[in-house]
Amino acid sequence: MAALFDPKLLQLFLIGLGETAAMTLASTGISYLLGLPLGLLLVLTDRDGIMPKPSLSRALGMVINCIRSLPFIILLVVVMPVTRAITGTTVGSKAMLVPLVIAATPYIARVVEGSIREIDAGVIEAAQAMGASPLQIVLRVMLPEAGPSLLIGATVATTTILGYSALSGIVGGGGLGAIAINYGYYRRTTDIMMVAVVLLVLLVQLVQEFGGRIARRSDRRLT
Amino acid sequence: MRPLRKGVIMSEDIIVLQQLSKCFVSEQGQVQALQAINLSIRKGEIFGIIGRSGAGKSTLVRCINLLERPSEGRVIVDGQELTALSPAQLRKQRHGIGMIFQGFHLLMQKTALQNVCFPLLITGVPRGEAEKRASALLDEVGLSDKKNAYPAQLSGGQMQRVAIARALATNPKVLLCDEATSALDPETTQSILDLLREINRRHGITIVVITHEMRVVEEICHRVAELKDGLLLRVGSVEEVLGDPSHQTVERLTIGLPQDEETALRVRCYLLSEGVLFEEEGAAIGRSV
Ligand SMILES: Nc1ncnc2c1ncn2[C@@H]1O[C@H](COP(=O)(O)OP(=O)(O)O)[C@@H](O)[C@H]1O
Ligand SMILES: [Mg+2]
Repeated sequence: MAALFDPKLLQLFLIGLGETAAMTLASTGISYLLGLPLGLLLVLTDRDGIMPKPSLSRALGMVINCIRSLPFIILLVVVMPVTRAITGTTVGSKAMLVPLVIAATPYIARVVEGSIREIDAGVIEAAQAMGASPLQIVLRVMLPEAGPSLLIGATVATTTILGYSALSGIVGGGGLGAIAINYGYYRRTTDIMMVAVVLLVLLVQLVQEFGGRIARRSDRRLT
Repeated sequence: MRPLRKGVIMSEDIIVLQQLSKCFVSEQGQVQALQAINLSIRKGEIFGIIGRSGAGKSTLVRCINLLERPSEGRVIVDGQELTALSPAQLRKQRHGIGMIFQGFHLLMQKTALQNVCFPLLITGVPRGEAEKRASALLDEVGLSDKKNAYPAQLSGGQMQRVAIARALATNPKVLLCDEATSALDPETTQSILDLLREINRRHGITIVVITHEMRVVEEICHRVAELKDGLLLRVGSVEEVLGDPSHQTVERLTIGLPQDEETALRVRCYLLSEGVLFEEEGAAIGRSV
């Protein structure tokens, strides 16, 4: 155990931690830029939505289901040509952004869809009765009213993507996942693997606790 | 303007429904919710639409601002044929038609003041000006001390007051009320009805009240229409419609009432129909029966 306090190892963990955090945050951020509008589109174009286009909604839903039904580990391999085309490589944490975003975007679209659907239809109807346009309804009704729920969704999504990013260590991604696999699985240095796992667990706890707290505090329905 | 009886000039109609029909089509089949409704509502009146649950009242009122698009027929509000407008033109006209609901439908993440600001902000009124107007409206509905409260911190009656202030923010000519008091207790109902009457008097705003509660109609309506299975049974003054001895709504509305209240209601309706009583006297007799 004493070996763990070796400055070299400490540096290894710090870099791993940084890479995992960066990978997770970057891919979550990019995925939200894509997934949030997609999730809204799913709701808006639904048969009972405010801009009904059932065929578009159904097609979008099917594409999302297809990507989501691929296990992440398979997706990692399948999209390698795309990854190479975009980043020029298939290893390292930057390259992993491509499969992470591809996997997380449809997931986030569904999470967002769920949050938006929770809004009482009457509130949206009242806004329509007041002459609000679809864009105004999205910006001034749907997003603010779903705010706390969207935050909880983002928390769950972040921890899920953190898990994906650790998994990407298997195919050459960086971060704590790579450390755990390289040292624990390939070199059988169980104690190093354990530390990496504990750090991952702590990260998930931190994100969950922090996100949940902000969501609860921002929710005006709770008094 | 058109003359009604000698010496009486009736003001123009602000809401005109012509041959209005609505048929809902779903997997379970078709529901003819409204059938060839012809109805004119006069400027400045409080107009009641009564009928039992499922009669088509909500569908009818939702057709007035086209929340529900009629299958057939025309809707004309304030001289504009809404059924002929583009979506953008329709949104503009909707600024002139306020609506309140049984479930209030307030923004739960916004304060009372922010809720009342909403219709102003979406019509491009600057925030400062919107807040000033919203604040004055909340004063008017008696919520001066609740401006920064969130809906979850308000009672049902207070929430409906916020909704009324919100509906009035853009100075509409028409206020549509779909079972606006049905979720409230009798005293709160009374205070909301008083407020609506006051608003009608002060702003001259035309109010359409949908209800299954006879007392609401008796309390504030000038004229009333009775709806049954999507058909307009009759339209007239409250006395004419509710006092009709063959009137079946009375039968239905008395179901479930305690015996003494039922007797009181029947006596009141009969006396009103005979023109023996004015409303207040009827109520007094009702209590003594
Ligand atoms: N969106 C809808 N889809 C299908 N049927 C509907 C819909 N809205 C109302 N209806 C039907 O239309 C009829 C009238 O409903 P409604 O106008 O809500 O009645 P009321 O308000 O008088 O209780 C009912 O039979 C109801 O089931
Ligand atoms: Mg109804």
